Amino acid sequence: MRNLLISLAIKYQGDYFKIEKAIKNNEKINNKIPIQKAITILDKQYPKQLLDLEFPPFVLFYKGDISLLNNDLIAVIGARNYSEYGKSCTIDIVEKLCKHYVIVSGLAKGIDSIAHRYASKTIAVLGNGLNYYYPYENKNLYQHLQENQLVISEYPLNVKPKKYHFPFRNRIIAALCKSIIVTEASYKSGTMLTVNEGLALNRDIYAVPFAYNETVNCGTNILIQQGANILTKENINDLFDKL
Amino acid sequence: MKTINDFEKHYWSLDKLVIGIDEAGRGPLAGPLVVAGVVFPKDYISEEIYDSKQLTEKKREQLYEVIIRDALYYDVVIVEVEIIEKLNILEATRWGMSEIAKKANVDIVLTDALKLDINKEVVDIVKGDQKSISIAAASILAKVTRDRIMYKMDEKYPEYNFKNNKGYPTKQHFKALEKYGITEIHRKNYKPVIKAMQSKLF
Repeated sequence: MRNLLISLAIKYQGDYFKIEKAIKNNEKINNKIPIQKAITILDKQYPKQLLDLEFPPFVLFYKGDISLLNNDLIAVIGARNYSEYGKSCTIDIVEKLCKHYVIVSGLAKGIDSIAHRYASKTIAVLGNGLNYYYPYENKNLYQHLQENQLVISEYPLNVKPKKYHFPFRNRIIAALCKSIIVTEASYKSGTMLTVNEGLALNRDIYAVPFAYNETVNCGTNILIQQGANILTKENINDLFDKL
Repeated sequence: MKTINDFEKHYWSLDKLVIGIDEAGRGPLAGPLVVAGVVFPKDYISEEIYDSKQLTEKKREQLYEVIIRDALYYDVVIVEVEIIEKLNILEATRWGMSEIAKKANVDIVLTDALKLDINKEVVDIVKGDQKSISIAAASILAKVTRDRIMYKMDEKYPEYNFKNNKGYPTKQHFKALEKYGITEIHRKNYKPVIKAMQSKLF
């Protein structure tokens, strides 16, 4: 049965709704060992917190150390266009947390990449097949992650990145983590979509405050205004019980 | 260093599953032969997995864990000394490899320069452990497994220093053979072992 799920996911390029339809129609394809490494919703290692989702992925393709999923996970996400302030906050937060938590992010340019780079244990959730280096400038980071850390995707190896994959992918990041930290964000951004997913799933949201004269990346201030926990160097130790 | 993987790349592009098979312990005078097979997922890469003989023991131990973690499937067969004595070492190797190849649900079998008579497509590659990541990984599983067995044997027969020579013919191993004779894990169809048996008799 799990072989069938993986084969269907490969056949339908990871398209959730096509896979769902194939399962409902009782579609049968060969039951050989699938050629791509994956865990399925039927497996013991499948992260139970993903079942909180309305559309939990049937299959997660992966490269690297799948056991990282068994740890306490915290998402650290943010803007592609970042400021020096956002960068230094991200580094400080990740370095404090990563001794006790595995850092999850989306391998985007900017804050996501910084979070992966400074974490000792980290998981990247992609919106494309694992054979694609997207964005290309993250190629070296990506190669390090797939050999020494963990990269996962609901899309099979050769699926190209498509625009609508990324907001859909965000639901996985939000569902995996009990806490979501936003270190820098513009008002309208993918980061905000992940936060909305997290709120719907009852996850804890933390945001780093920005300065009075900040006009572009002031998304975190809006999050705080709307009720996210304010995260500062002074209170971070009190907010996370393992610190 | 890194393997070239032309064979894997070719078959993976056709969505065919490939198993690489290799062995450890054809040369030693004592201890089993260990054969292993590894199936990696399509497009698997690693900078580190390379011919087991060119890696340090510590590195092999680390990579053993990585291979088991990353493989879609792996298998290890221990060919005991009695079988080696009955078949000769080459046939024993073929037998072990064929057992693994038959059992694995794959399309293509890659071996390190050894033809197998089985019902699957077999590609024998000269210097396979340097050209194929699957064979290189199999050689690491085989070598580590065999070394672990020889450490146990060293506890049982401390006179032969198996923990260092792993059963291979070293000066010190010959001396121990002269002094203490052979054990039940010595391969009694190997010339130096036969010699040691005779010198004990007369």
